[in-house]
Amino acid sequence: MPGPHPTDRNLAALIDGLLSGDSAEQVRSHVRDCPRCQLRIGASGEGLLGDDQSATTEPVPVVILQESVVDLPAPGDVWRLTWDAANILSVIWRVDPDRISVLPILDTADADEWSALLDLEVTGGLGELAVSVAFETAVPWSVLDARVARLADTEALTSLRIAFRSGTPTATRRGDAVRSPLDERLIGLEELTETLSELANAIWAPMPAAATPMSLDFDALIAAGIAVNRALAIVRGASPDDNEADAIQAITGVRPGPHPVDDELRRTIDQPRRKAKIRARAAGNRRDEGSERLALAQEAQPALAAARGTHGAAPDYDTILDRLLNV
Amino acid sequence: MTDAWAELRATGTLGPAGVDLVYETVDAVRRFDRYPPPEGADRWTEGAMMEFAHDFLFADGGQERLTRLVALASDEESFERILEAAVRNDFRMQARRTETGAAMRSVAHAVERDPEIVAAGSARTRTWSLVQHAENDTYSGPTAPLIEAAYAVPDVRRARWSPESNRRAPIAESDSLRRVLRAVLDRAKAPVMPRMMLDVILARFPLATTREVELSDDLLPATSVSGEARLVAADVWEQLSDNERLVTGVLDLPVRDMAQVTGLSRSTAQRAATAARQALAAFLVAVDDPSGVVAALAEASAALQALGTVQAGSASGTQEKN
Repeated sequence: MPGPHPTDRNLAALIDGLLSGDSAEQVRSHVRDCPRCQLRIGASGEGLLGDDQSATTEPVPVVILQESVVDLPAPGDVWRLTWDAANILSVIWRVDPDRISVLPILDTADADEWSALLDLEVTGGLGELAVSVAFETAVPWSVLDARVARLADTEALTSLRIAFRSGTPTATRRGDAVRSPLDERLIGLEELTETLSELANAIWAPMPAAATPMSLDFDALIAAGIAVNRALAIVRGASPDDNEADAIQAITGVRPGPHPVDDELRRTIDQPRRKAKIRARAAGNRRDEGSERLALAQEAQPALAAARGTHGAAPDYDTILDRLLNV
Repeated sequence: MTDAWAELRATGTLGPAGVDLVYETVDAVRRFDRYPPPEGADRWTEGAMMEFAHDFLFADGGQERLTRLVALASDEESFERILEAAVRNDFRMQARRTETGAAMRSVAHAVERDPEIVAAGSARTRTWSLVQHAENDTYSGPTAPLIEAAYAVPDVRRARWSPESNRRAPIAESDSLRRVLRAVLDRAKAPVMPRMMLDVILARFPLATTREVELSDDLLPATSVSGEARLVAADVWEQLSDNERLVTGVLDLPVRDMAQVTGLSRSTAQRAATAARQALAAFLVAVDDPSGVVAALAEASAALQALGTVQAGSASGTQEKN
């Protein structure tokens, strides 16, 4: 099925013939292959009855919280987590070098007994919040988008979390228990599960199959007709371009792929402050975020190889990536 | 794609593009999720849609909700999706408080307790079906045949309910409702979505969403009315709301006079008369002595008018007492 489902607004516009060329085709092509959307359209209700309402609404002022992107999230922060079309607000609970443990914020309409209802006084301008302790999830750093607020107090969450894990009583204000499999809140909770699953599994695109690490000898590269400076760079870790790969394959019988991404580079790319630019690049290149991160790592290889120099000095990953992302 | 997000970020206000987006989203969600029109209306109008949208924007907690939407969105597309989810949740919250929401819960409860009916799919794609049809594709045909099947079930009995009860009246006696649900699913021969089933049930029991009060003998004297007509009238009376009962005896009068006689406001009288006419039409079509039934109802209505207005809802939904 191609991409996420269209919004109901877009489905309605398609039915009513209000979508133009490309947009209409995009939605139509999704609906052609998606039984869920076909069913949804088939079950749609009737249009509005005009009753000459000419009321206009004044612009509605909205409080926009000051977002910040810091390199190190802290427990109690409320962050926006994003990966492709999935996004959610979450409370940071624990920070590890490889993963972040988060407690997702859900709509108060979906709050169940393991969702703490936090008063607006403690939520840093976000109003009353429902935070689930049952859906605590470990997510990779790459999904951290921006810090939007900070909880003034996390005691209620701590108490409910302990109650969830050990069954001890808690005085935390929380939602009602879900007692029936037909409870409508299960719809929201299931969507939350799906979103969390996408975020938890937010991984880079896999390296191409031909990317098996190959030990390339400088003399062999020269024998293959590779220029000296490029042969040096490839030995130090740069990826051969297509022509170079052809030449190497002719001599060795094996086609070399891109160089595997080292952990330090991966961590540097996954720092939250690069998220917005990577997403913008992904949108511009019509790639998903995982593919864009891999492409960025590959683009960084020549500069990294050059920076390592003859003596293999540690490259400045930040500078190289900033240069690439600021183009 | 709209420019609502860009406009919002640039100006700190939800401007014309944003408000239009809210209107269109409210309209689309109510349309695809098939939410019933607001109380007192028989279908969705532009005005009703805008009123819902304004409640969404300006009701208690509306400001903080907008702040959260902005904090969560990162571009036009995500803003549109997040807004739609928030509007859908608002509809759900409001539906829980309405009679229709209660009717949905009653139907769900009946399904849950019926071993012949199986629920399938995830919470979002839930369907109900008879066991033998569970493997078929979800029903996507018209509702009319299903409503016919619901009406074809014999001996359906509505539950009698006390006016003193704090709980809502059941849609029907549990055995009757179960047989109707099974008949509908048998006609569909396929899994049916809960929202469609609710449409069918509300069509079969059009007054399931109004409060029901027992008809006492004091209000329905047997004078000049046959026993059978009296029984039918009692059944009809049971389904009418207080206001509908008040206007039932004066349905032939102009709205202005109807309002004067009953003590209701004109708009309330108009709504009650429309609903009462629909209810009577549904009942009287299969009755041998419709005039006898109407006569019995008129007598009861006159008796009720003599007691004064019971509870007359105004157009704004607040209650007035005479």
